[in-house]
Amino acid sequence: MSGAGGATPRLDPHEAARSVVSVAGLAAVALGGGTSGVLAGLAIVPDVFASLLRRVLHGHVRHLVLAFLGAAAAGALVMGQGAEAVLWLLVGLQLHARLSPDVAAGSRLSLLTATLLLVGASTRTTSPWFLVVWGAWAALLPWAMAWPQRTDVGHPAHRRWRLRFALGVPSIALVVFLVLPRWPLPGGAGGTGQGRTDVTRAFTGFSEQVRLGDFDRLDDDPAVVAEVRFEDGAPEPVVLRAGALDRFDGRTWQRAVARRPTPAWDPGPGRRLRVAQSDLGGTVLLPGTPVGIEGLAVVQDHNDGFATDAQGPLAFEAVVRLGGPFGPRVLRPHARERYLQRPEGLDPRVGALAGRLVDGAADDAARVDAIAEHVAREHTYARVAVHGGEDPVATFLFETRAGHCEYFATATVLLLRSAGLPARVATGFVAGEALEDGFRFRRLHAHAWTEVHLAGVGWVPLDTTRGAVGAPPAPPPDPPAPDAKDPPTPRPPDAVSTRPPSRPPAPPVPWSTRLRALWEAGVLGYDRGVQAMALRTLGRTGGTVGAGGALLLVALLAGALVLRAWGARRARIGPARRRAGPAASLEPEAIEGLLEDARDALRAAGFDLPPELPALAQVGHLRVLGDTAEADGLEALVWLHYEVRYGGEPAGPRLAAAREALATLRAHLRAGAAP
Amino acid sequence: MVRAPPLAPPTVVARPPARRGRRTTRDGAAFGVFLIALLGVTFLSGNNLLYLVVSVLMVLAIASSHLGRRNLDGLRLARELPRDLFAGQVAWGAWRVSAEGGADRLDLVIRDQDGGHSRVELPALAPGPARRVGARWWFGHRGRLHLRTVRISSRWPFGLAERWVEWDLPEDVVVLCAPGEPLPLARLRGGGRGGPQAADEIEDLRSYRPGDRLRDVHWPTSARTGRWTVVVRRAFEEPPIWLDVDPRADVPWEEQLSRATGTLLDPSTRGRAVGLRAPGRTLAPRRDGAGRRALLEALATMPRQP
Repeated sequence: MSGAGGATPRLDPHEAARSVVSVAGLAAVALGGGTSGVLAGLAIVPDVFASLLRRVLHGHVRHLVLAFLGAAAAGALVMGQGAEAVLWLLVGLQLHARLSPDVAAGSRLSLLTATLLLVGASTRTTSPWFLVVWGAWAALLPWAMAWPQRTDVGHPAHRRWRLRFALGVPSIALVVFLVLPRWPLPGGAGGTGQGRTDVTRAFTGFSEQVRLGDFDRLDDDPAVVAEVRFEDGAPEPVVLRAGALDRFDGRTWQRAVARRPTPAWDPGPGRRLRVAQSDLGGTVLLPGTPVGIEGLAVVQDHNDGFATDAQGPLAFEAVVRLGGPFGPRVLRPHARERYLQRPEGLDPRVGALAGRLVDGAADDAARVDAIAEHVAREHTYARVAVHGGEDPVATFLFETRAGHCEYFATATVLLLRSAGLPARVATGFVAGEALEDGFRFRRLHAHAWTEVHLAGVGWVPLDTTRGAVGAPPAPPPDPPAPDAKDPPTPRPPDAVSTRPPSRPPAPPVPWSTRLRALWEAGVLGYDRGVQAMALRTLGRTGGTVGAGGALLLVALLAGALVLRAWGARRARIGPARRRAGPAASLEPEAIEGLLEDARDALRAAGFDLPPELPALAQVGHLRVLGDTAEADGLEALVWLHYEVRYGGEPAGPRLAAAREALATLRAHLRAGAAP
Repeated sequence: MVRAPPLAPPTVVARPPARRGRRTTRDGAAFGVFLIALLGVTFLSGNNLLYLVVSVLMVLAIASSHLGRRNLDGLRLARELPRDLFAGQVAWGAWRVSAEGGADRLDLVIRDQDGGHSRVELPALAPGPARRVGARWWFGHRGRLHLRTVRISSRWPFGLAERWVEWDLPEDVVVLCAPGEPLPLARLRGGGRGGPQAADEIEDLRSYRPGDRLRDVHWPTSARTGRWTVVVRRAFEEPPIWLDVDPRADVPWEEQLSRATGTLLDPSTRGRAVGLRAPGRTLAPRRDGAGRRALLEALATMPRQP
């Protein structure tokens, strides 16, 4: 908006709001990258200066812009780039709308297009900056929407509401985001954390191989997998091991296929137990190291996993040794080579990171500690696979820093192998539900962790999934938590990180990492499971907060009521009264009061103003008597009063003029102009 | 104001609104369709970023509904019509409107639904004492009119829906004929002034009243006493003026009524007794204000085409 008559151009606040909303849409697309992202980034410049360009170009060029981008979109569509084509077209429409000389119609189209751009961008980006863009869009959209409808004409009351909307809409929208039900989807249990539409899902459980990025979403499967009952009562929580995977091609872990007959059992001290498990394709689940198995013929693979040819559900008895390292204390060269294998084309940053982490470590155990601490502290557990790009491990380690247990285990193994330590990914079930004499494991208890081989010690389990490292020895199992897919594994007492730290603690996690983790877990990873867990947590909290929580709630409610009353009083008094004291108000009566003040001042100065005369007749009376200056002063106030009272004009802008007229009149009277 | 008996009270304060309603605007319908479609896509895709976008739109829809309803709560209204209403002329009056408690009421539009083409836009109304808002009425035809329903509507906050409340403010008004060119006094039966001497003869002096002409001010007395004093001229000698309206005359009927009204309002007839002769209706000459208004009303309520 520019002032008339060559006055200095001023920023039109409505135009600014429209511009922010529009730029937010374009910026969201730019976050997604690609040609449409570049195009959207470039379009931000003319969008920001749309007001100027409208005046200069008179809206002619906008048709050319739309035609050009439309043709380009058609070309992209022909080449099979449908999504790109749509975004190109939307960017063209956005510029077309913003440059339209019909500002009201252009605003409507611009707001719609900006929203569609955000919708389109939401399928292409997972950047945390999306939240910033979304916040700007949400804060100013109400204001921008009100303008074409003329429901915001810049009255002070409107300006107050702009601020309320700008703060309130995004805040309430976040709450709505959290409580909106995640719909059960065909092929999945509903809800995804991914900013994509081509979401694939998988259920928790066990498989012969682990493929990173094979699915986007993990959903809980409560089906029971196995029950383990100890003859002499339940010990500390156990880990039900299915086996280990040793070969990694950059995306998939595979199990060694070579199996050998189980060597003759060497019965020794151990815990006798009964296992009842569902059919897992021959895989046998065992807690600890078996000393003997009865009632089932099994074979053992190179990764210390056990299998059977028996079909269907299995039931057998076994004697196991719980805890402690297991397997050979010294690896043969070919085995060591297999456990040091790294995929071709592994991101060189992985090796460099491993080198930095173990630099200065005194021994293998210290190296393991360093790597485990880094993975556990710098990464966040998320139930989504944020696997962008071709190298999911590098993406997990250096970009998203969030993932589920398979990402933690894989990254740990690759770092260990890069540091020269043999390692493999183990799979199984953890944190089973406690029974009287054992544990029940469901598919949702499936987990993946790391096993590292220490020379002279054997294989040592190591769980770096966030929260496990540095944890005290495992407490008794919690009550069933059907949505806890990957709870931290109870660490065996001889796990590496139970050693005293051999080096100074790692530096604190930077805020950027924390915020990113919050974004990954709180927005991208928010789904039905998290919703249900949050509800249960609230329920538990509500039950345990007691009097303190109740008092806090009451205090919050009281504070809200006080704030509301204060706000209502402010609204009742009005801004002008607050500024100028109780004598002023935006009401028309305020100007009438000023007019009465002027009459009083004139009477006090000795002028005869017959009270029965109408206001303008009093002015005429003064003129008849020759008091022109006083008549002019009074007449100015009279007309201001008439404009407001009978002309339907707003009082606000005239109040200042009325005050000024009264002040001038009083100054004139003080100067001795009285008759 | 000329009113037909029985007259309603001059100003009727609105009772609590009898009717409420809402209408989805075209933008609101488009918004709703878009929101529903986006909700479907969001639920089907499970995309959390879409959930963020759709959450904002849902908040806007909910806020629009809640704030729009609250915006019209606690309003009170009274109509203040101007003194005279003439057909075809703008008449300035006012609405006295107040809001009880709560926040400012925004973007109100006040309409008289049953005539008058009165529409006032009020950008904001602070809660508290009543505020008088200038308004204008315009009536196309003379005659009696029964004003009743008044509607306050608002599209605040986002223009997605228009909410309204309606009151019954019954008020009977008579719209006077549009004043036409006054008839020459010489043509009026019994017209002509009684003579300059008689007209100029001073009967009395009295204090100035609003509306008195300056030429009636008695300057010597005013200067002497310091108070505005006007003369009361003797008019009893002036013969009455008869306004004759006849549908059989050559002049169109409505024009006759219009010119008669103009004559009644003309300052030159002020203070003189005026009577009316119309088919089937005769009003004796009177010179007071009540008689003059009775004449105006009679002219306004004449049949359309006898």
